[in-house]
Amino acid sequence: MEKLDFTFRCSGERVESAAVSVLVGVVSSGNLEVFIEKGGDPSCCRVEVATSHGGFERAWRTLFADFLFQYDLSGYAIWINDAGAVPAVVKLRLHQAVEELMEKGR
Amino acid sequence: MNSRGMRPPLYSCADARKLLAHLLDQGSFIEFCGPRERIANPHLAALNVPMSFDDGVAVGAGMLNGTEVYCAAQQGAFIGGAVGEIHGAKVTGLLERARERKPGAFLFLIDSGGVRLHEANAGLIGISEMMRALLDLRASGVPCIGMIGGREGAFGGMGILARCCDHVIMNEHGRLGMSGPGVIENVMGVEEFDAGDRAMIWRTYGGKHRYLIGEADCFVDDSLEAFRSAAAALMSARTQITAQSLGAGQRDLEGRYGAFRACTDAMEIWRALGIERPEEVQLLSTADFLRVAAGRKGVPAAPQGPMEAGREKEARSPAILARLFPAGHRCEVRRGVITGRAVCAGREIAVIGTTNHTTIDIPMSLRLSAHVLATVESAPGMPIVMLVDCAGQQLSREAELLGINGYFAHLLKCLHHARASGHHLVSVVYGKALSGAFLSFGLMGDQVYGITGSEVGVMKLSAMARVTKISERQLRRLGETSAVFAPGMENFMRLGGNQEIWTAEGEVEDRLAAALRVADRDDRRRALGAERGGRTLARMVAEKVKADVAREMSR
Repeated sequence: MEKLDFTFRCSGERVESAAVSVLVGVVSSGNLEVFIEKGGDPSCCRVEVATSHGGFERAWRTLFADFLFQYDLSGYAIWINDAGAVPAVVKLRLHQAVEELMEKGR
Repeated sequence: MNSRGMRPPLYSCADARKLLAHLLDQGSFIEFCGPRERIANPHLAALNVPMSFDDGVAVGAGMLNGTEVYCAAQQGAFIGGAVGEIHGAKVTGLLERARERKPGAFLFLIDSGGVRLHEANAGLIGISEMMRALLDLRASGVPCIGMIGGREGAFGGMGILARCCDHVIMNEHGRLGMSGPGVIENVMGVEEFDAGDRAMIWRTYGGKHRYLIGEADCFVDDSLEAFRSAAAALMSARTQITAQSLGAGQRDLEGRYGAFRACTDAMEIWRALGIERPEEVQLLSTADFLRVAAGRKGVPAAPQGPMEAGREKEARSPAILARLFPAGHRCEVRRGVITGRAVCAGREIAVIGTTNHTTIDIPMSLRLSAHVLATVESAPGMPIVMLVDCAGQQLSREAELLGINGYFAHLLKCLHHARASGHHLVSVVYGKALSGAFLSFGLMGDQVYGITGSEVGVMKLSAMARVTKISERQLRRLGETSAVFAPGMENFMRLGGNQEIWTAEGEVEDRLAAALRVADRDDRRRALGAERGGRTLARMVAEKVKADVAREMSR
């Protein structure tokens, strides 16, 4: 198990939602759960990852930098439990989470 | 159609929260002790296995056609939906709260292989707590509806628990049983059960077969709407556990065993039930299948032939009987099962139990339940002592074909009925107490006592290592620091699984006499586990669920 902790300054499309939190995905082989919750520093987005596959810190960092360049999730925290998802699946889940967050809070 | 104009997902493909969102009235689901709590799971962390924020189960309340219902949905994709300490405590906490608040029904969306081996004994006790809480909830008048339609099915302890519900709804994908095909193949060999033969797996455990033999009450399409309307229809049909219903259940189960014990494949059973072309059953659509099954479901009336062939009464009675009951006993010991009466502290008591590290099969389970029912009928209020020495349940395709989990659930219901009728249940573990067989009677005791040297748990460490793919060495090392993995009665006691340990040399008959004077009938295992430091999360989580119910539902 490896725990990673990042903080990002965001740019891009501002995510506005009345919903407090959203959970998508399931922790199972090659999959992950993404939990996004409102709270914390309003000027940035905090990301915490627990992954069964260590040694990919740079890949995670690049992925989030890219995603948070697209969506502005300042004032939110992203929590991830990962069981070895490939980057494409991680990206998919993050998009799904943001989409559900916006839909839920409409 | 939902707001995005998409079709709702199939029941078998949806995850726990999707299921609840579609099954309940739109937007009505309120989750208790949800993922926001992010309760860390120390057992999985110790094994380097990633945890999940909800520990694989969503519990909460919602509306079904305008009636308030409580519900729990297991996340099959997360470690096979298996029950660990937090997972079990979330469900137990909600079941206990439901007993006070009396919602219209309790819906249990089951998708689980049973005990989470990564949490071994903590999971075993967790399932036992769920069983007691569920049977108590039923007794309080709230109907419990089990739904099995996901990929994991309902196996092990969850297979028993499913059959403790008032009603079971299944679809074609759902599987219900005790030992899964993989376990049977692993232990008994591929000749017993070829776990790669998917058609045979579904013929044995699948929804259609379970419906035909009476293990499932409702067979529906793989759609959320079908499950939803079936649940709504069953909500008003509460079934009570009474002496009459249990007597009828005993006769039905004996009838099923008598009629189909010689069958080696489900198709023989279907033919015996009067289905002309059994080979076509698995191809039939739901509507066609229900038409074919109409009037044929269930069991022939009378048992055929003797229930148990073979060995007569054993000449030597186990030493434990003489040690516990020096004042005398009239116990019959036959094929590993003890039934009878004994005298303890000048008082007559009923005895059921197992001996010789036996594995419990269907006729043995039936004899145990018959003795419990006979005791309730003929000797109101007489304490029942359960002597536990069993190495597990019979692992065979035939036992699964007949639904051995349903027989175990019946035994549990009989014990529940005995407790509710004022019988004190005391368990004494004096040999092995392993897995499903332990769940089906010993763990149902008001108090459980152990004699030193007894072996308790889910399964052997070597088997556990095979299933979890964690080396036996690592498991053994963890056992040195964590009571959850460690074998032996002492560690089981730290988890709150048993009351106390009696030393082999001690005056066990005095200890039993004292145990029979204990008046407490509440399930104290969570509190004991927390006080003794072996299982600290269960109580906290159950209390958290209860606090959430109080807060959310008073709004």
